[in-house]
Amino acid sequence: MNSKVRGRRERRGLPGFSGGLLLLCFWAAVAPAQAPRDISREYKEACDRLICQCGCNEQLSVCAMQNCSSATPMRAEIRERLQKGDMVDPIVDSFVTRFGKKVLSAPTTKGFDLSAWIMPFVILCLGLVVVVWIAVRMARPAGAAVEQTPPAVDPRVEEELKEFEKESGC
Amino acid sequence: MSNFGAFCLLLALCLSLYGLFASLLGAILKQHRIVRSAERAAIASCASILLSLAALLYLLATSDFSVAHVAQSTNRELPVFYKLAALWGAHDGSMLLWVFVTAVFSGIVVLQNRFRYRDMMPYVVAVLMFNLSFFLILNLFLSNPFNELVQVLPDGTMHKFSPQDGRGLNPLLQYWAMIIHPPILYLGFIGFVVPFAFAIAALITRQLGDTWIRTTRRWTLITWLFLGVGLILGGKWAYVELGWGGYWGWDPVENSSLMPWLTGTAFLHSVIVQERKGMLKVWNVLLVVITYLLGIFGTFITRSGIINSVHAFADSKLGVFFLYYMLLVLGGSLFLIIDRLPYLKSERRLDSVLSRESAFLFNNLLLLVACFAVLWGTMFPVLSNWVEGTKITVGPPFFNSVGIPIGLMLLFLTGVGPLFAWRKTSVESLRRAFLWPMAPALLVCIALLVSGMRSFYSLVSFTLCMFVLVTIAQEFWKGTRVRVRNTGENFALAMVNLTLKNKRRYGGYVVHLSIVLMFVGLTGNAFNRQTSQAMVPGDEMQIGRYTLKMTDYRDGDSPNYQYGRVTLEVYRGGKLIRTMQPEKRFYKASDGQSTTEVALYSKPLEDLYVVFAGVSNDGKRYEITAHLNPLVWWVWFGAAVMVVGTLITLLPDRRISFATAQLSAAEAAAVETGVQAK
Repeated sequence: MNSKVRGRRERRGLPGFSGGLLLLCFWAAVAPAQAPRDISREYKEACDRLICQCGCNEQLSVCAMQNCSSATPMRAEIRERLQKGDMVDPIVDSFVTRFGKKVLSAPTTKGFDLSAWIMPFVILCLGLVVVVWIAVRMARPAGAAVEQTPPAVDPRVEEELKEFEKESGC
Repeated sequence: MSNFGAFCLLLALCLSLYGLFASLLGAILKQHRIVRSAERAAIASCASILLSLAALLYLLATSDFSVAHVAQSTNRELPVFYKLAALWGAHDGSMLLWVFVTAVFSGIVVLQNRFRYRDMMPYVVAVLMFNLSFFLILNLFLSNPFNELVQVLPDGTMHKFSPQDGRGLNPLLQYWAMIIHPPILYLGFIGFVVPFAFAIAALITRQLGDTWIRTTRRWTLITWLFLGVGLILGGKWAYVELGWGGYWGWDPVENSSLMPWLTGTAFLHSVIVQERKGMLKVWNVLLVVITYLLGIFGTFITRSGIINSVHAFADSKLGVFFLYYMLLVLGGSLFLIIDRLPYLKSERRLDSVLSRESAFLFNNLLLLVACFAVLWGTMFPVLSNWVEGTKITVGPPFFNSVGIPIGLMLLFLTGVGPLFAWRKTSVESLRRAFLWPMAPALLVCIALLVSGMRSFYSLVSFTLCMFVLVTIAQEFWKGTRVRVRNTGENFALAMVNLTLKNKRRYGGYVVHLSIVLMFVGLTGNAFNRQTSQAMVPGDEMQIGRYTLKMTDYRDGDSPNYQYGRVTLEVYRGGKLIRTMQPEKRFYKASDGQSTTEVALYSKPLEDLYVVFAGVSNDGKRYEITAHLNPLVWWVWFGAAVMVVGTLITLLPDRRISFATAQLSAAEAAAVETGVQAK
């Protein structure tokens, strides 16, 4: 019973889906002819992800050398390919094929490069564990007397703390 | 004059070596007179380096191109102040500046402590002179700024040679901020040698209480301020002079300046815990050593050529010496710390994990992790080269992805820290303390969401900025209200006096405020826009609310450079608001190197930043790039507030007694008024 109902629904849905697909194809065919695609965001993204090869070691979006022998043709190629409808990833990949990984402005997420990304967070996690451990270890056991502190230092700190608390109204 | 300069450097080296050995000998033999002579040698060494510096400045000002440094970094038509600034325009001269600042700091320390800390001072002087001698040796024998040019003739004989004109100063350095940026940065880098020297002296003499901390607190703060200001000035220079629309490019040399600043910030916080609670002693000594070493590491990066950078001098001869020096210092310091561990035990224990002490611990952790992330990213190309044989680039996308979450966590702690009480905080009091700052922060978050902002990090950043802002305001409000109640002062006066009475605490809050303001500016980066267009007079381009109309193009000539200047009228809502004139300059010396002179219209809400990128290949159109950078203004404003905050914490103690005297009078008046009213 249920499968029949579902089957009917699916059959009913099909003409609508095909119509939508047709419309989409029509739009895809017509839209580029009507208005050029706004590629500014993709262009910036691609330029940010690539390094100029003139030796300045800057991103393509940053190299400010006039008529730079590397940045100018690279930018032109990116713009042209984006206008033709290419996506950012294949464009970047093609530059990597041509120049190697050094053309990328950040390490990849494969192999040894992955360690670049994860190491700071590994250190953060390890640090958190250590700090929590230190804090717990250094913390006075519950119920321990506060007077354990050296009496020579205590009154001075106490006085300062009181003054602080008084001032801040805590 | 060049011989005189070199002789003075040699004399300074002899004096500093004498200072090093005499101070150690004096300490071992307990001969006060020998120690005094070592201190005098330190001051004489400083004077000798001053003479050497004056000699090089004279050679620069008089364009004596027989000296290699002068010929490489100046030309005849260079304005005099840039000629003098060329002192640090090349590697050897900048090393002389480094040596000079080190010597001056050493001299000041000796003079300041003539009658104090007599047990520690011989070792302090020894460490300072050891540091100075190392740099003097490098400066004299490996990068001498007084080296003269020689010409080798076909028959193999050598003659002195003086070219008609010099190669000129790098045009990118011909900007006002560059005149003060390197010296200020050097003051920041080098200043950490003083706390380091006191820490080592404290370790040697086993005087590991608060003395060395209290003595060096002011030095650390001043040094930290210089480093911060140096970083900001560098950012300002990059923003205005490089023409790419940004102020921080995560360049290895920029990173190497940021790292000691981060560890210095950690030290300034953790030192409070040691002063108040006698805790974190090992940690503080370690932090000082790390910070000092990171300063040396920055110089190593700049001068070793190990990493590509726009700032690097790339003189690979020096790298290996820096490496050995750093290893020696690290090894020696670690040995001393381990040997003196029994003297570095905490005097107290934590009363609770929920306390301000713990907040400081977490703050230190995050600052150190931030420093590690920067170091890791900076050195990863070298590591990758070792491991895989490929030198990859680690640029802004990496640093932004890793740094933003850590930065936001730090911002959160900036707000949370003051909400914790010393010793112990109950959950209930925390809940109460969080209530006020959280409410407006959430309101900001909701308002931004409703207004269409969808950038996750931007939302978090603005929300946290409001949270921290309210926390700081709450601290001032609470303290001032108590003071108004107690003294009868008006609110503004009470706030000023409250700050002056406890400069360190409230000055610190002002610095926190500056961090919030800078975060507002940094967050604006997420909304930067940029557009480029090849224009001819009469053309218009649109960016955001602004319409730029090109009206003119002119070529021009000055003694130092030729330029092309575009004139653009800026309209907003159809109304002319400004005329902007971005320039492209071609320097006659420096092999015709070009620079962009940005036209900037800066407002708190956004910067309109226009660059004349050059003339198109057909020579008929002018390439204009316009950037719309929201909220950048707050970065510079925040930096100014940071300076004010740090200066408040640095105000001399005499002001306290003055403020206290004023308070007493006011209190008396209040009491009197109260009595009369009754």
